[in-house]
Amino acid sequence: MKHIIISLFLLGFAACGHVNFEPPEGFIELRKSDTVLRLVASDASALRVTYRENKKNGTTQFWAEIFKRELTEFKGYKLVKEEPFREKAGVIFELLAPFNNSEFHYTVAVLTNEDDVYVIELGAEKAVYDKHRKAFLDLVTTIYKDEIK
Amino acid sequence: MKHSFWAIALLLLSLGCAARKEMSAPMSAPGREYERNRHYSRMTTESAAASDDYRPAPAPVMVSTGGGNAEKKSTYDEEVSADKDRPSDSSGQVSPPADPAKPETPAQPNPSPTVRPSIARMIIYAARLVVNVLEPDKSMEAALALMTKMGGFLAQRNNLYIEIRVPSALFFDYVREVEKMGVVVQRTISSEDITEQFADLTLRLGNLKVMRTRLIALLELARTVEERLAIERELSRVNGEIDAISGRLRMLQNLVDFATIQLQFVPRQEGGPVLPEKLATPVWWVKSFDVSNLFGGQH
Repeated sequence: MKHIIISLFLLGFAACGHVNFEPPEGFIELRKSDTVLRLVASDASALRVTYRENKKNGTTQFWAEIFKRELTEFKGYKLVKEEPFREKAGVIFELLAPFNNSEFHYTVAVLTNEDDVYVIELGAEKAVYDKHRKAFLDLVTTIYKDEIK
Repeated sequence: MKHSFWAIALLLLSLGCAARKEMSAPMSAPGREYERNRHYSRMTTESAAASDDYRPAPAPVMVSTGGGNAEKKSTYDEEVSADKDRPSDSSGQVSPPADPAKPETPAQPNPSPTVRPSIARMIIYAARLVVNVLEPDKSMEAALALMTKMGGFLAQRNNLYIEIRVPSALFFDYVREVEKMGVVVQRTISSEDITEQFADLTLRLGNLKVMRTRLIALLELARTVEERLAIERELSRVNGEIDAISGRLRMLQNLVDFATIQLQFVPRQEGGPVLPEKLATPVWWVKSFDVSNLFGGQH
């Protein structure tokens, strides 16, 4: 009885998480917590969704700026493209990882509303990046429709 | 009579002092410049006999430019402008400077102290780079492979630190390629112009060789043992100086021909600041977004 109660409690806790999304095509769910969902593809590409509670005045512009600064100025990624997502709901950064002139892609989407901040990341080698980009955009669109809009 | 004697003696003494002072006074700046120019002229004409081996190496040049930040550009632009008068072929390779031993126009006595004869600059280039990379071992392999490809050699290696020598003509090309491997967190590029030092040493070497020839000639004319011993002692001293200066010139020439690059690869710390002069990101959890973190599966 005790075990059942604990199991039900854990199930309920998991169901209440902020990252209950179906894996897009080509990815499986590897790990999930209340705020982080980690998905991987067979070619080692990875997707990750991170949830954080938004703060007052935490606009998309604010979070976009802070992410861009962190990724380009501190982490050293080369910003290839920056485009808004659904007007002011989010922003998508396409970056290149700087090692050995390798064209390693790292794409980060930041979606916000008054209460939530969602960060969706895709890391993939160039050869398979285009294939997974659609899955990434599908996931971003799903999160936008389910949580942000 | 006695007074006139002392007056004449004092006059002669003062004239003698004035003449001595004039002879021993340091040469004025234009005078020194004129003497130096004469040295350069003599060097260009006499160095063929004095030191055929010491030819100035071509200074580093940029073959192409593209990308890079403003700091790099200013440095490189300076290099390009410094070499823009040098003839180059269609492939962008700069032809080596004219041999100072065989000037295109014969060296003339310098009529004006302000006009310097043109000689190739001899510059020692050195760089120290600290590069933040994701995979230090692979970056190190790439850096060493590039060094070999450019005709350089390894001087020292200690884990992720190397000191290498690359041909000076490819110095900036090498630095630029290494900078592409990651994020440069420290870049120090220095140059030392040793043209005058090299010219002075070459001149001294030439003079010593002339002196040695004269001493050998004197040795044949010596009649007594004492004279021979004295000349041989002097000859030995001159030979020692010639050897020392020749060695110094060879070392300087080597430093000019091959630039020294100290290179250190630092593994990129997850979440740690790459550029220490920037203020850290104020929201702690944003720091966790990183490719290594994404693939590392820590969350």
